[in-house]
Amino acid sequence: MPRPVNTGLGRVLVFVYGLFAVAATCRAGVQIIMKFSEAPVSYLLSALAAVLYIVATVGLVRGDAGGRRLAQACFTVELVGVLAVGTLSVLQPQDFPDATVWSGFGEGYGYLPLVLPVLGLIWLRRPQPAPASRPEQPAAPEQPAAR
Amino acid sequence: MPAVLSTATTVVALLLAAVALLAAALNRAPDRVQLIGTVVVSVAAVLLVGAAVASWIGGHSPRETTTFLGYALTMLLLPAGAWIVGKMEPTRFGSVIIGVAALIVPVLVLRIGQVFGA
Repeated sequence: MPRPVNTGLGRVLVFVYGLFAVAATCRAGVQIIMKFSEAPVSYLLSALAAVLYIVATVGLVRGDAGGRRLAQACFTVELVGVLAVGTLSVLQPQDFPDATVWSGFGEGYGYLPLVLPVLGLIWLRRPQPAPASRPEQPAAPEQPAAR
Repeated sequence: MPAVLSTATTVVALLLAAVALLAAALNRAPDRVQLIGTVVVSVAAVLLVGAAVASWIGGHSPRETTTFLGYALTMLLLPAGAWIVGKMEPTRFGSVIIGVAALIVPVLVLRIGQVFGA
């Protein structure tokens, strides 16, 4: 039986992604409601990031094949987004009058927006269907796998 | 908002983070020490938010009300929430969850201070 994707390190990812979903949603919500006209592109990007974090969290929590595909798609878009927006915000800062979650490769959030999708993609690449193969990630080997 | 409360909350949160991440490094699940640490951080968070709200009632309002409420609510719920999720994961990764949450608390203290213009 393959180890579920939403336990072990996966549960850490679920927790951190859940936090990011809440934080990004609140922040984008406040920005869009209070001062949308100041930097509409930035705030819409923040909102897009928030949606991606929510969907990725849901996908990880579900943990089945569909959930994994969903999370994988979100991680990929996030990675592309953080790299594109990060590069643009460094090259053309005038296009981003206010910071987004992804500005400067996520520097306002301890670079977690850059690290998380990479970590998530690596985590989802574990061999899923092969019960005999020992995954290379350092999950506690003595622990019962079903927990 | 008293600076001593901000400092105290930051210190106990960093201590809890150190204990929890050390436990994770030693391959240990969340234990009683981490529970006590979580309770202490929660009490500090309640006192800090309480002091902020008290000075708000006293006439010193935060610069951004909505943002302050968001951070205050997050700070009150985060330690307990991390403990609950951490206990669902009875491996070293449960300790990682509690350690990561404890590392976020000082950031929240900082942001609440900025929003409040302490």
